Amino acid sequence: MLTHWNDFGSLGFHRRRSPGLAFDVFDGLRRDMERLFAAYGRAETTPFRPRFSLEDTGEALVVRAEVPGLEQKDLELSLEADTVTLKGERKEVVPEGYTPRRRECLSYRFTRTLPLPTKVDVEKAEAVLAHGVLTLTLPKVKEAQPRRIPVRTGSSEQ
Amino acid sequence: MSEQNTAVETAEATPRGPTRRATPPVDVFENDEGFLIVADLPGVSPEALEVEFEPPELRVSGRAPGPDGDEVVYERRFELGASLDASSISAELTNGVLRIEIKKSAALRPRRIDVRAA
Repeated sequence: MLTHWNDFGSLGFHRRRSPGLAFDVFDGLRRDMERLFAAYGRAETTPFRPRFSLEDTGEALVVRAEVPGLEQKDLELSLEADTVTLKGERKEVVPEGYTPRRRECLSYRFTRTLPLPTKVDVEKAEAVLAHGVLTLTLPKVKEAQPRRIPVRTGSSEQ
Repeated sequence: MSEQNTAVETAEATPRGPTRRATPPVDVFENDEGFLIVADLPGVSPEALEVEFEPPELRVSGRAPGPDGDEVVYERRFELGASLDASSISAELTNGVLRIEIKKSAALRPRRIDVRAA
């Protein structure tokens, strides 16, 4: 099968002749490597898992999860005072009438439980899903927020 | 791959600058009419996305806000063969997923020729 495009982004070099062949070789290699990693049971080596980050802004904890292609209905979020659990699933779909030539955006299903470093106010938590990124803003409970301690000058003068 | 993972992963451990470059994963599909390229670009809004075609290169780049005020720059380039119809390129971004459609030149698309009885 003749393919009409080439991709130097991932091949790393410019190949004018028979790009179709190059893809077959690289796709085969990629599949082999995925099998190898799966065999080691090292899920963390697969790039298809959603990325998470946790940030402390002082008043709140901000959790970001990259979930491209997911809609609200594909995500399930549960929140406790000191943990947040996110579940999601993306099904692998080949558009109708098309033949896959390269697959990198694989489907995924995940459950992540993040222990939170401080207690948060569950009632005031906010979740926003925009452009394939879920952002959770979790305001800390009062006791966990930074406090300013006034420093008074001591009476060093006699 | 694993369904259960309780490990905490905060951002990256490596020192980060203001921008981080990333190569987005892509899917490529083909049918008789043309190709469909699908790329995951989480966090990229339509305003922060550029799809440019400078023969023979199709370049996709997008900026997304990362954690801690950083910026992630996604970039991927493709070489399109002359057998594709560059004027047909269309792109759509939904939920952080970009879909680019490129039609094959009319001469390359299969045609059905009706055979009439003489």
